[in-house]
Amino acid sequence: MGLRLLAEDLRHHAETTVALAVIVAAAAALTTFSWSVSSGAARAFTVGTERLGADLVVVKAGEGGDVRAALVTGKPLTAYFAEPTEQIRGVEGVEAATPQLFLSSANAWCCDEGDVLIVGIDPESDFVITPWVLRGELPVSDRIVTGAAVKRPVGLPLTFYGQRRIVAANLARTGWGYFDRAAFVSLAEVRKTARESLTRDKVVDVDVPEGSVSLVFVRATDAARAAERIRAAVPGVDVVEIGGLGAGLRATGTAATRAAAVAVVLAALVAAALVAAVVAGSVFRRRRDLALLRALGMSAPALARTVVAEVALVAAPAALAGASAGWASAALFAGWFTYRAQLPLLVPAVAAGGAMLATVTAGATLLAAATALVPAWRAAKCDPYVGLNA
Amino acid sequence: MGQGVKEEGGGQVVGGLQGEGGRRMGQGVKAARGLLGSAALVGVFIAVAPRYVFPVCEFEGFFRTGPSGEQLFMRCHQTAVLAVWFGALIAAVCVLGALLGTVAAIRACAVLALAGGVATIALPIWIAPVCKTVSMPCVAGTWPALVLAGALTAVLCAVALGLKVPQRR
Repeated sequence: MGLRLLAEDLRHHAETTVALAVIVAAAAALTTFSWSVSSGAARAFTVGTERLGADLVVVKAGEGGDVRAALVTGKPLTAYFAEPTEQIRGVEGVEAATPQLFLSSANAWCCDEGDVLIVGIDPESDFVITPWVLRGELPVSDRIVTGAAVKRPVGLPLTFYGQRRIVAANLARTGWGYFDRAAFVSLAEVRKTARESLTRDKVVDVDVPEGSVSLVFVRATDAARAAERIRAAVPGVDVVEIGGLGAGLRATGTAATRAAAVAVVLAALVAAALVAAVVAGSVFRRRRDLALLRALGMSAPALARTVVAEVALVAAPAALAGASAGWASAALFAGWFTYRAQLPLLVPAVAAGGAMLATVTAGATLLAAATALVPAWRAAKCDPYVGLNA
Repeated sequence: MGQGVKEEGGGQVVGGLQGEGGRRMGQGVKAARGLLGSAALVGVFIAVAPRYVFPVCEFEGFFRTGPSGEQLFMRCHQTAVLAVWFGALIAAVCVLGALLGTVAAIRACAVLALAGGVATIALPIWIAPVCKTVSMPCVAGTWPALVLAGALTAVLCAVALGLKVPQRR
């Protein structure tokens, strides 16, 4: 039977066509969404930990539990403490240490954007941002470097607490709030901003003790030993190992992958059962038409092939549409996963996403066609005499 | 002869939703009513999402500070208010179309709900934009939820509108 006749036949049976399309599209959407989230979490974990380049984070005592939220969602660490960088540099096994000071931009007229993480970095000792920008783009004086989610093109100004600065570079997306929603400014400029906010009219006050920092990133030869030595040498601090933080994130990612796998298997099983039921109902309603085709000389395999081809004709575009919707949903909700669920997420880009769409579309179409085979074959094998007299 | 009446294989056939207005017709109408019913549920979701499912900033404790230090609603307040109206209208129109069940009613209601779906997509982007920063609850949750729900409404109504199910007379 030609493609045009198959399509015409599908239009005659709108309920069946719509039901099949909805089932296949929903299963494909759920599969692609789950796949995007699990692979996106794994990708963001790799990219984020590589980009960070630190082994330890030193924060004020009692604030160690907030480090994960600070790095994943970009929530500022505002428990400031006296800068211990020189003491840390003197600890055996420490290769490098760099201080950072966090502020959050205010949801007020004095800031262009509210809730942006303003990170004061020391351009001399920094090893977190410096490797990813050119020397001329380093945040000094009125130059700043912004994360991918701060949508301000290079060369345009951005005002925080009444201080106007020029965007010198945009960082690539990482899926981590610390990089993506941040504006990196020099440490001296952040301290100046905080100081001047107390004296300027109509600017929200920022209360940062002079000479204090939010955290110190440390690179060490042996992270565990260096952490012990820093705890002993510097009183009043917590030391968090990035490896331990990574293990926690990896565990969350693994849980997400397991949940995704369960969702995919359940979606496939439910979709297969529903497709089988819909096709069985459809061939039952059309048993006289099918028996007539048999009586006119169509062979049983050809009739079964026709029914399966109809299902595939509906399933393929529905699966493609559903998979695209699942991918788009994951991309749209990436921010929700990062900022609300604390799961860094980098949704597969065009090349990987295209391969994922093709795989899911082909898989869903094949599954639907394979499931339809049983009711189609049973209908095709029905005796024409019995079918016509049903 | 109605708009959707055509010749096929020697016999006359009538297009489902393309047929004469006001006439109930078999499978196409049933499917269209099911699609409109689903769109009505999405409409309800659009109405409640900005308050209960993916709350906008004010329900998460975020406010803007004015020049005199007063607390003001953020940009997304208007998005949430309009979303309730958009969602309620979509739900009402879809329920009406599904209950009346005539070709003309389904077609008219599907067109209106489709327009509502498109408007819902435009709501957090152009009509009443949400806040700017990605970490704000309205940008992370409400914005994608409204765009997806609007798209789903539009697709369901477009399919309901496009159904053409020839039936033998």
